[in-house]
Formats: sequence, structure tokens, C-alpha cells
Amino acid sequence: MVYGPFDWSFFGYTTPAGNKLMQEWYDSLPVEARDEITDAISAVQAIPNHLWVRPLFDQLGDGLSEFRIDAAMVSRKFRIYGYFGPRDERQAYTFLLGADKRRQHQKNEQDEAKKRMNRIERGEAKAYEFDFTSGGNEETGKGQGG
Amino acid sequence: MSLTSLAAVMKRLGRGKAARERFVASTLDKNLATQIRAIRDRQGLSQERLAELAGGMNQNAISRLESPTYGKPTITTLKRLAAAFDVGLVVRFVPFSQMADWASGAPRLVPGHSTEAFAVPNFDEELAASIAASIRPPQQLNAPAEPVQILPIQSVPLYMFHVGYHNDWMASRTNTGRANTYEYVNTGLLSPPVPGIQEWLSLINIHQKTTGGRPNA
Repeated sequence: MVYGPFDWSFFGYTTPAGNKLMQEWYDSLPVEARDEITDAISAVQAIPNHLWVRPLFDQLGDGLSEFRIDAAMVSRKFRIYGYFGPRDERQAYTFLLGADKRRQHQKNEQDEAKKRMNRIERGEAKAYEFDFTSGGNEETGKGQGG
Repeated sequence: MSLTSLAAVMKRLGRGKAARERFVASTLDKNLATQIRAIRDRQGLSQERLAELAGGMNQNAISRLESPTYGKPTITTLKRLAAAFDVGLVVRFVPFSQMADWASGAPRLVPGHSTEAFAVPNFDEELAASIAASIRPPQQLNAPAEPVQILPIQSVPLYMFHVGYHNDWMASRTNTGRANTYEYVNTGLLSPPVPGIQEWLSLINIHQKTTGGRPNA
């Protein structure tokens, strides 16, 4: 029986002007939060995406999905919106927008994430290979949406 | 391929005992839950069926075990799952260097965050992909390959073998779909040898069992 291999690559949204908003958001997080995100994504990096399930992952419709990360060490929860793509990449997932989990902003965040997804797919914006090992903030950070 | 480098993991471990403690807990919780889900998926089992096979468990218990947040498996439970999956189970303390190798997929030691590391094959799948090898000593660099031998499947090591290339482990498998056949693949050399570094792999015999019978060796 052949199973896999599954080897997902992760990308981050880059604005048309070249700003790596996702990377900047991630890098601004406290190190404990970055560790939690890295561990959570690493755990699903080598398995088929139909096994990406709640509570870690959820499909939101219209191609959009999200990772939900609970960084209990810093008492923060995050939503990382993304989608399976760019379409010309195999086994690729692109992070579009990261934010602290706050119910009142969820709709706006999703709308912005969809805009970013569409920009990438129309070729107006790019996705770059996400760097989980970057980030120089070793203190508890106050990063907001990115 | 792992998302983090060995250097990044070592830097993280160097942040202190609390960071190391979190690393162990986080890695164990997340990877164990993922592995249970991945093996169950690979074997085409529902949560209900796995609960039956594990004996005395219910679907809710399996669901909790597959959640990195809620799963709190005991060793006894893990042993029951290993038996249900027909896979091995290793629970042991290791130096952080080994754990860092595993987490980063450091080359030539462990597969890291690969599909094979999560969705491990069971005994029958390993047997079907069994490999035989003989190793030529390093002083015979640049020598031609040994003549190919075909070995009956029962006489070959079950799976991996050491080829002496930076402590690498070499494994390969073939895919055939025909019933009642074995396929063997002979590979004379692993790759063009690097003088002084790489030993020659003089023989690989791969026998893949499909539905029965023995190779015509």
C-alpha cells in the first residue's frame, strides 16, 4: 500500500509592494507563541490535509481556512487564516493573515484574508516561503493583526 | 522535510529548562495525537473500529487521543493501540540531541517530520517492502559492483540497512500491482561514489510481496 509522501510547504502573503506581512506578524510574537505555532504546524506538515481537523484547523468556506493556535504559555490564542495554494504549488498552504483571536473582528479578518488570497491567485501579490525559524523577539510581545 | 532546522531547535533548547520542558510536552502531545490519526488513516480504520481493535475502548476515547489538547494517553493505552495497529512502540528517555535530531529531521539519523515517521508501516507492509543488501568495505572505493544476487525473501533482513555513508540509512521500496508476483529491483551502486567518503553499495535486492508466492530465485 502506498501512503504519501506528504510534505507540505508553507508560504506567507507578500503585498504587491513586497512587504511580508505574515512574517512580520509572526516575528513580532513572543517566542513562546512562535514555538507553539511551529509545533502545531510541524505536527501536520507530513500528513494528508484531510487529517487537518478541529480544534487545530477548520475550513471557513470559499477556499479560506484557519489554524487556531492556543499559546497558553502567554495566555493568547491566535487565528491564522490561509488557503491551499498558490495553485501552481503542490502540497502548499499559504498563510494570509494572523491575528489574536477576538470574535468581534473575525468577519473583517476573514474578508481581508480573502482579498489577499484573491490577490495572490490573480498574480497581483506573491507568496514567499514562510520561515518558522526567524524572529528576534525573545520577550512577551504585543503583536496584533498582520 | 521538517519546518525547523537543527540549529533553531538547539537554540530553543538553549533557552533554559522551562523551554526544554515545554518542547518535550508540546512535541509529545502534538505528535502523538497526529500519529494516532495518521496510522488510523493509513489503515483505513474508523475511530469506532480502532476502539474495538484496541479492546474495551470507545470512539470518544479515540477521538480524545487524537486531540493534542485533550489526549492524555497512558502507556497501557499506547500499548493497546500499538497492538491494534500492529506496529511497534518505543517509549524511552533520550538525550535532547536525539530529540532535536528527530524534530529537525537532521540528516542521516532519523526521518524527522516525514510521512513515514508519522504513519509508520505495520509488520506486513514492512515485510512487503523488505530489502537485502551487502556492503563493500570502504577500501574498495571505485571498484565495480558485485554481481547481483537474488535472495529469497525469508533470508533477507526485514528492512533497513546501513550503507556506511555518514551513518545514513538506506531504504527503498517498489510498487507493483500484479497478483501472485514478487518484483525485485537490482541496484548496483547507490550513486556515484565520493572518494574517501562514500562506501559502495554493491547489492540491493528488493523483493516486494503482493499477494503471495515466492520469487523465482
